[in-house]
Amino acid sequence: MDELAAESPIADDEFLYRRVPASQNWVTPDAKTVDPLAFRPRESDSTGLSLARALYESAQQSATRGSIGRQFYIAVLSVRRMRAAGVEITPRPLESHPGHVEVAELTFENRRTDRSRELVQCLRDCVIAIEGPFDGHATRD
Amino acid sequence: MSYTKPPFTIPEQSLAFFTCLPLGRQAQTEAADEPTTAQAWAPFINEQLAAWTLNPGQFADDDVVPPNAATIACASATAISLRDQGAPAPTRIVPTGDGGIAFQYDSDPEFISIEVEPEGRVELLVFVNGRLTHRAEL
Repeated sequence: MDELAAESPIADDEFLYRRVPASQNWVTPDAKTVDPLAFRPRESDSTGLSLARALYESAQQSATRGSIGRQFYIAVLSVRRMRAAGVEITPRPLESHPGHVEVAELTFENRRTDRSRELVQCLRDCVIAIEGPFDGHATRD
Repeated sequence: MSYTKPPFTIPEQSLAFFTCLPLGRQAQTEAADEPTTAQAWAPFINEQLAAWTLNPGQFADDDVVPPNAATIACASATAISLRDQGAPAPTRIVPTGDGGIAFQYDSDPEFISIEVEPEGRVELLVFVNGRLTHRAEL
């Protein structure tokens, strides 16, 4: 694990990335707005909604974590806006992904609760830009 | 797999939420130069959902569960029920990512979502300024 990343607090002026599969039509054709469903936790978000710190990678690099042959938009979220809305962000650096963070309150298991539904709406309002689409490069088992 | 949700009646209380939307008001008045409710729904029912029925696997992607044929059939039946009861056509219809299909009415500050879940449940969710103000199973 990257110790620097693990110990690095998340500043208010940072930005976070959420990878959004282009195939779902959650991003409008003009790439100006993203659907709240982009922030509904998926099966891999078992301990919290996964996001990536822009401090550690570019939007295009973040998209490459997606599968090869697929395309992904990157929704850019403002930490300041998230915190102002009461969303807590927890650093969860991984060996292969030092900038990994989670919204621990939002998990795949609780995705249909009232609170989760509101959080998902709230996260859409924290988006300040949408970048891409970019090609995924990851190979899956 | 063959599965279709029979036509169902949407409670008056739930239909009333659509009247707060500009689209809802339009559908109620149906001015001569505006598309009728049936015309507004046609691209969703006859084109979008029909195309999904022919290729239900098109939404398979990283970590998302695409809607299956049964869920798409259920969404088509829901669309027909909404149309026939005068509900306005949605802003968009999208997969939910966890096997369902959402009919969304996006008219800031209101955001209405009718979600057809893979289990066959149909739910109405009404948000105002991001707050969930009403939730009901249809």
